[in-house]
Amino acid sequence: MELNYRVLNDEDLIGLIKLNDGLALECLFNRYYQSLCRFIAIHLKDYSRAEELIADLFIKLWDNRSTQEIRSVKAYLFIAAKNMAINHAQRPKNKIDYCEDYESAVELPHTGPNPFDIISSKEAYHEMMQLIWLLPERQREVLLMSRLEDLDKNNIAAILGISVRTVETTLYQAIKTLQHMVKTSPNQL
Amino acid sequence: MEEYYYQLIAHYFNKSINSEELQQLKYWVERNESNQRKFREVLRILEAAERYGQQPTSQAKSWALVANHVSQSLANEEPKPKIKKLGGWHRYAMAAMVVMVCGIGLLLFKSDRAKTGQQTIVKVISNPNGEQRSITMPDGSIVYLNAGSRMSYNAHFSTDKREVKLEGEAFFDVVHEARRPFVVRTGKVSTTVLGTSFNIKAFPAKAVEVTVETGKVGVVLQRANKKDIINFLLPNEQLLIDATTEKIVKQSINATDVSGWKQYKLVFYNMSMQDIAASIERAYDVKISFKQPRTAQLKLTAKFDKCGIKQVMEVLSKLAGTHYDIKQNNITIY
Repeated sequence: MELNYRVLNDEDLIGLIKLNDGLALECLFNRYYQSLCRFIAIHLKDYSRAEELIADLFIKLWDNRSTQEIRSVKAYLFIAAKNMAINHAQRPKNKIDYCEDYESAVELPHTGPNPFDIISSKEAYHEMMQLIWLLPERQREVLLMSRLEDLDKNNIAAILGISVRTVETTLYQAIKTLQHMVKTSPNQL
Repeated sequence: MEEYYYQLIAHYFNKSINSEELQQLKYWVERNESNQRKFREVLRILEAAERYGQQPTSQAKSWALVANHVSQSLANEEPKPKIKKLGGWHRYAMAAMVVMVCGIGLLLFKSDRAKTGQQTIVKVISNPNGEQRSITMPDGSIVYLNAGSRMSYNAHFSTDKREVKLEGEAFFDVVHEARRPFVVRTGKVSTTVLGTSFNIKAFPAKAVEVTVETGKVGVVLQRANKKDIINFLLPNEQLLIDATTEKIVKQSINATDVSGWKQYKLVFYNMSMQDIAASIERAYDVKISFKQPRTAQLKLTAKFDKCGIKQVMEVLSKLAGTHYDIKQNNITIY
């Protein structure tokens, strides 16, 4: 049965979800879960919270299945995920290290595990990741999105509401900024 | 200009670079040391960005949250299962036929309402053992799908015919549409009707059984390099088709007994214990094994009306002169 589902495109799956098909939801979930978690981690430092938010996203998708008209499923999922991350970060009760706070984000003693802490501790990319964290938000966002398997330039442009050309130049700027940071970094990577 | 080479490096990193671009990149990198350094640096940036946020996720745990919500929301929307209480205990014993009516019969209807969407999508409905359901088709026809059976159809029937694929057993109550025949495909055998009710049993490696309750049914056996065989059936007639040997038998039968399973009745006419066991396994989601192969060949006639598995086994073992043992879902006959 799942065999049939895997060959269906996102829009067909949404059609099945409208017919109360839970398997179709599961298929869509498996298709994008990893990418969405990584994407949302660009905006949130708490990775386990990111996973909760993505589960919430699919619950909302299910609850609104009969009322919502979705044109591009992929763009919808990523845009909705980003909105959830931002809403979540702006809630005053939750003490989230939101990335707008570049300096504090780097200097704060982190209580829970976060994406770059976990990896950087073991990897030689530690400092480069810290520098990525210091990039202006849009540059960091585009650079990290460009590394997500499910997204191409056109997808990124659609999700961020910018032109494909802007995606390209922003990516270039991000790399240039990082190169400059490396040069001026006291540790000399 | 430099931006172009940075894009090439990204293509190179993504393994999506073509040979011409690779040539250009190679030339650019080899031109001077500064380019080599930039090349390495960009690769390191991309590598770091790639690893960023890559970590084991608790995907299964997250899905469990979502799945839990989905099943709750579906349970709230669907009508509550109907629990029908039947009178007291009734027992009818006739010749070689046993009828048992249990105290409580549980009628569980799971209707898969195929709402008319605009997409052309294949809908697959699969029942595990121990579970049956009725499905209302896009044209209003009703299909009762038995346990351990599976069917698929185009969610939007085509304009010229209504087609369903079946593996296992189902009862069809087809809405009459003179211009659009209703076709049930079961391997090489296909059953065509305009509007009738009939039962089809087509489990893998078994003969296909078509039984008509009302109306007229055409059954076609497709044969390689030979003319197809066509048979017409009238009410209370049953056709048994062995697709491999191409042996076809037509017989008279009480059609309501054959489709009794949809009211949770089990009717076995002169059937081998082995086949009876297969039906019971599907209906009750149990596993039955025979200690003595001879018992499996014994032929019996019995009828059960909404009985629990223990009562069914009690009667069968009395009729067959055997004993049985139930451990969880495993039943041994010895």
